[in-house]
This record gives sequence, structure tokens and C-alpha cells, in this order.
Amino acid sequence: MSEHVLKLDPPAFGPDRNFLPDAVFSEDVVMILSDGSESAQAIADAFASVGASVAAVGPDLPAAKRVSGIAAGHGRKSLEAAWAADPSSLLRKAAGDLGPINHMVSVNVDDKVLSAFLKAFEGVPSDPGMMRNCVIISSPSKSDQVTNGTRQFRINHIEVDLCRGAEGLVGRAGGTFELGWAVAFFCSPYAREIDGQRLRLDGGMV
Amino acid sequence: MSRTVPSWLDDPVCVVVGHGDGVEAAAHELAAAGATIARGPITSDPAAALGAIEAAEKAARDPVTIVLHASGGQDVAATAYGKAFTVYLENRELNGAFLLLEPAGTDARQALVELSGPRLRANAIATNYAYGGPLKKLRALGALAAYLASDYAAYVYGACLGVDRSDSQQGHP
Repeated sequence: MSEHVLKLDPPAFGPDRNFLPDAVFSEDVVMILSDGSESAQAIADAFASVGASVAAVGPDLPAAKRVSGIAAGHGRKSLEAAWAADPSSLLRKAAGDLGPINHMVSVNVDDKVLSAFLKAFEGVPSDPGMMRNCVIISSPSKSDQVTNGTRQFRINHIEVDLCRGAEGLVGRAGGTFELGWAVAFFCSPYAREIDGQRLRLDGGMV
Repeated sequence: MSRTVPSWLDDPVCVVVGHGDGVEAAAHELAAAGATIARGPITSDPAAALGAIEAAEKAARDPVTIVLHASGGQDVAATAYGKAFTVYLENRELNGAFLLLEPAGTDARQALVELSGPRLRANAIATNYAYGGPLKKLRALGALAAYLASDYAAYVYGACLGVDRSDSQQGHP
């Protein structure tokens, strides 16, 4: 994915201001599938800054560590793994080390990898009251074959292009932390009824 | 409703236009998130809309930077308030957010194109809960409205979302 993103703040404030109340995710664990990009790191920051533990999964351990390191920096529990591992085994290990996975976030991950992890996530038994959800992040043109159908957890989709806004109505590139806020919103208790939605995060139409 | 959303809004003034439980839920959560709420009449007259916005500013002693508009599918483009709010923001060199709240199945895309501009960030919620529904759905609707109106969503332009899959199954968004 492109990481040529200018670090322009949105109006009035930047990434240092917490979007959600402190500790809102203090009992939650998020699994982030990514190639270790800045976007994935910003998402880890949005979760870990308000209490979440982070299980980072990438094509290799260095990529995963770029994401899990953000959680460690906040003093949160974390682990990293390569997605070549069996997803079901990985989910069990994460549950043992960090706790049951509440949120699964996929950042521009190949459909084959994502499908395997979604299937494993679906197969994990969970308490009836436990909020489980998934946020799929992809480029605007990508199809949505993977997330169609009924699941045992909520799935929302974010179509993101953080570069396009410079030529759009917003007149600037997007900050990766703005993507982090959007993902954190969909996973927050405030959005626990929001399901099957597609958010365009691209800075607007010209 | 006793549960509130976080303080996502820095004390803006929001003009709310329209009726129904969904509108009230959105207004409630916008207020809980930090907005001052003023009511505006449903109108097709831009001058009347501008008058309502200016009256809200005068009453609140702060400029209006959010408009929540629910027309029940009768005026999805929010013609009068769209024109009035654009003029109002340009005159004051302010930026604002416009939020459409319409029934599920409403195609708000063209309306969002017409409303959006360099000073006006327009987004929409199209949902079966625009005029009522279970409390938990209305709370989610309100939280979504508060998020979309906030500066945390400053990069979100032209988005049209529902609340749950019952909204999506009607073809849009």
C-alpha cells in the first residue's frame, strides 16, 4: 500500500488527543492483520492508547513487531506472529496470552489470508455478551467478496485513500490517525449496533 | 437515554431540522457530545433557513457549525438549508458539517455532491431507524451522527452510512 501520507492535522487537534475515553478498551484485545504499515501502527495506537492489548499478525515477525511495538509503548500487553501460522492456533495462543480476541482489524490484507482468519475468528466460542467485531480496511476499488454473508460478529468496511484528499474538497492528505479513529469508532461500545456498513475515508469528491 | 457519547464536539452550535425519534436521538447524542442544539423549521426557502441559522447563532452567542437535516425523503438535498448554510459559512469564513438523516433506501449521493464544498463537509445516514426503533439502535444512530459531525471525522466527506444490515439490504448505502 502507499504510505506517502503527509502528516497534516485535521482542524484543531492531532493524534495526541484521545478519541475515546481512557480505558474504554481496557478489557479488550484487538488482532491487527497488516504488513506493519503506518496505518496499522496508527490503528494500534488508537486502541492501545485507551487500554487495549494488541496481537499483531504480519507477513513476517518484523512487520508484526512494528505494530505490536506501539502497544508495548503504551504499556499494554502484546504479541506478534506471522500469518503463515495456523489462524486457529494463533487465536488460541492470543487468547491464552492476552485474552479472547474482541476485535479483528485487517489492513489491506490479501483476501486469502483474511478469509482464513475470519473463518478461525468465527469458530472461536465466545460469551453471549461479548462484543466481537471486525473492520476490513481496503482501497476504494477493492471488491467485498470476503465480507459478504452472515457472520457471528459485526463486520464493517472502510474504504481508505489517505492521498486523494489533497486533490479533493478537504484539500489535504489524510492522517493515519484519522483512520485509527474511524476503526476505533466502529469497534467502540458506542457503535456496537453498527453492522454491515461501508465508510469512505478519502477526503471527499471533487 | 442515560448513556452518552464521549465529548467529541468542542461546544459547536447545531441546528436540527426535522422530526422523529431518530432525529431526537441524534440531537440528544450531539448535545451529549458537546453541541448546543437549536431547532430550525422545515422550509424550502433559503432566506427562512438562513434566518433560522442566524437566530440560532444569536441565541447561542456562538456561530453555527453543524446542521442536522431530516426531510423524510421529501428534500434529500436539503436545498434551502444547504444554500443558506454555505452562504452563512462563507460570510463568516468558517467551516461546517452538514448531516443528512433520511430513511433507508434514500440515495443521498447526488445530494452530498451538491452540498459538499470547501467549507462544508456533508455526510448522510440513511436508516430504517430515522423515525423510530429500539433504543439501542437509536443510540447507535446518535453516536454515528456525533462521530460524523465531529472533527475526528474531518477527513470523511460524502459518506452515506446506515446503522445495521437491514439498512444495507435495501440497496443503499
